[in-house]
Amino acid sequence: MTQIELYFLVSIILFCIGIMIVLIKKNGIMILMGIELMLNAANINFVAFAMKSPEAIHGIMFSLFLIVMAAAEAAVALAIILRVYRFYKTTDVDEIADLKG
Amino acid sequence: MLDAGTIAVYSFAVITVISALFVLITRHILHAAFGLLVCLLGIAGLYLLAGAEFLGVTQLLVYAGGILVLIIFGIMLTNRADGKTIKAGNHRVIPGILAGLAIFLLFTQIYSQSSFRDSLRSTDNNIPLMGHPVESLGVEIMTRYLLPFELIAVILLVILVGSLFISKKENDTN
Repeated sequence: MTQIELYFLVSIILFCIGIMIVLIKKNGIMILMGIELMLNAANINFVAFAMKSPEAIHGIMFSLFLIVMAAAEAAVALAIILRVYRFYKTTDVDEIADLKG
Repeated sequence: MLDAGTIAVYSFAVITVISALFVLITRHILHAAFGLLVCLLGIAGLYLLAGAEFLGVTQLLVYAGGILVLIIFGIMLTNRADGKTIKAGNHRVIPGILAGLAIFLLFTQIYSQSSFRDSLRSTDNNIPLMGHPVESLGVEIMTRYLLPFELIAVILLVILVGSLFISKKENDTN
């Protein structure tokens, strides 16, 4: 296995673990951690392809912007989770079902 | 064959995957946050060994230094301070694992049938010798990527102010 294939494998495994965390966990903050793992998997993929490209700087630039967007997403998601916690006194996504008909 | 670089790449990959699995398995939410920290450090090592030094350092600063602290703050603020250990429950365990495995099989199948697979395998210099110099990265940011750079700066500012507004107390008049 070459290095780039190892990177692909790590990226795929991280993405699948992220999806499992998002589907399985009940706590909102755990779901946020799963989303972070999936974003990191995408970033690893960009870096892996940039290793073989003659214009490698573009892949690295794209993942740089992705990191900034991930930081912004984490800030907004945590603000929403705090707000939900203040209203419902829980972060369990199963108990937040007021709109369920 | 097994030089120091290859061993380092494999060990960082193993650290990353094992700590991500620990995040999935553990039921204690603070332990999950620390597992995520180890996972992000391993990913930073992978970036460094792929020749993306600036990206690795950014990963350390932004993820390990910023987002992890934010997540731990969130855990502290959303849990009752009655001294109980904080458990994060599971639901839909079997369908979740099945969906994850299905996506794993899908991605590996896509890769094994992709047209770029052979061209990626043919060249054998895997680790770039020089890496990408930070100087050219800075020049690119200030020339070709100037508009996205400024846009993302404005977006980050707006989002941080907005998240402050969302999370402030309702009865806070001033």
